[in-house]
Amino acid sequence: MSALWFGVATAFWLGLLTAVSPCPLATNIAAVSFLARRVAHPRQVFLAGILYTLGRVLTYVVLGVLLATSVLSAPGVSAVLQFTVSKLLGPILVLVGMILLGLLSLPSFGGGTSEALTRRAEDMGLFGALLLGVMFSLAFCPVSAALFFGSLLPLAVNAGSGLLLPAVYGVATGLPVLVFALLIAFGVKSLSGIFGRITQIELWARRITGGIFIGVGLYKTLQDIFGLFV
Amino acid sequence: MKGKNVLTVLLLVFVIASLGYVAFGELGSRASAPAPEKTSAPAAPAKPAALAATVAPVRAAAPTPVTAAVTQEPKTPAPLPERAPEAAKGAKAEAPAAGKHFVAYYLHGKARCVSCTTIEELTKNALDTHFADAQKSGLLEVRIINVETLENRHYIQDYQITNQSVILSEVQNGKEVRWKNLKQVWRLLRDEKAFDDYIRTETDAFLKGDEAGSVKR
Repeated sequence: MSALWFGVATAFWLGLLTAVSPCPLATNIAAVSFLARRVAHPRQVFLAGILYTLGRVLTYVVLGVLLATSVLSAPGVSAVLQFTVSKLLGPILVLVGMILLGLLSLPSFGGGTSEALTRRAEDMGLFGALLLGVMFSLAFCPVSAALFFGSLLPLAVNAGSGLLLPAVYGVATGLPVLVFALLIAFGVKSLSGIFGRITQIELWARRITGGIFIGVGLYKTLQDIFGLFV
Repeated sequence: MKGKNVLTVLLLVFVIASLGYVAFGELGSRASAPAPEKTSAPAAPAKPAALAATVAPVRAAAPTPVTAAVTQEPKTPAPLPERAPEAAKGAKAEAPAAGKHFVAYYLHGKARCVSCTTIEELTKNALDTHFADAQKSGLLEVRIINVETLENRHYIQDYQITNQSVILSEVQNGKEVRWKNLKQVWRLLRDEKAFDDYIRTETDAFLKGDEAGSVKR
């Protein structure tokens, strides 16, 4: 039992290390800004934060189970995630940033009232947080690959826990982002209460998020595809 | 409004060009890559149990087809193994084909991080400082290899690596006979002295034939 608790504690620590390591920092900044952009609705920010973390947990659990049971080969999966998936992240972030800034618009299907469309967009926003969690956790960089494949997986296999330890690891990787998003959301909420300009603040938060997504996307593209910023 | 349109077009062009670069880069290297190396038979049997225990515990339960392929033992004397082409080239260039020599690999991808370049630098420094004579005589060769290129991707399966790694390899008569992954490099990279000691003692022991932690082919 104590061995399992040691495993859980180690998995949690490895997750925190992954979240704060310089390598995934750019995507973490993008995640924080994405969650915090709806500052007027702290409940939604909180929910989005949980869904973002859930997206990360889901990814690591699925990977953990498939790898621990040898359904997939760790070297093969690691190579695909590092060399292919992580390359797509930059261009995808640029496109999402463009949508947030209103430079591109998503096609709408069918009619429906503006209220229904707004609700759908809100649903997409929360679903987007889940998707973002999955996408960011799949885009492995060298440090996160070393921590996940080199440290967490052997630990999970030895402890016979391909499910629990990757889940704990996933929670820890999402935790700093969730905490920052909440701090920002509640901080800005109280500020906005003073100034009574919540709508304007949210408009700017959305623009800043779009700008950050495009900036991070350009940075990741230049780094991962064109090999700059060594 | 005009500025907004220009920005949109520029960003879209950037996205399309980036994706095109990835796609054409992949197609280009596929076209120029030599025949698939995985089809060639390895020269010597591998030991899956040892490999799984030493390198990747996650593979212990059931070897994948790749591992299974490595375990096949050819009935006839095998030609120079294509699965270790770099080692073979090294053998040709710097050591007599009949002799024994060693290769220290630093295997990395295209995206480099601070930790990655630190490991590379510290490894090179340690090997240049403590094994300068071995390198001059051709006994030890240091190779820095980007495993992301198609022609080098076989190293990922050859050494079962999931991230940037330092590998020691022993080559006899042009065939790799054993290798070892120095897995502690990630743990020690912030302690230069400990890192240097680790590379020195591990390489020294490997060159002297210590097989502890090695995977035999």
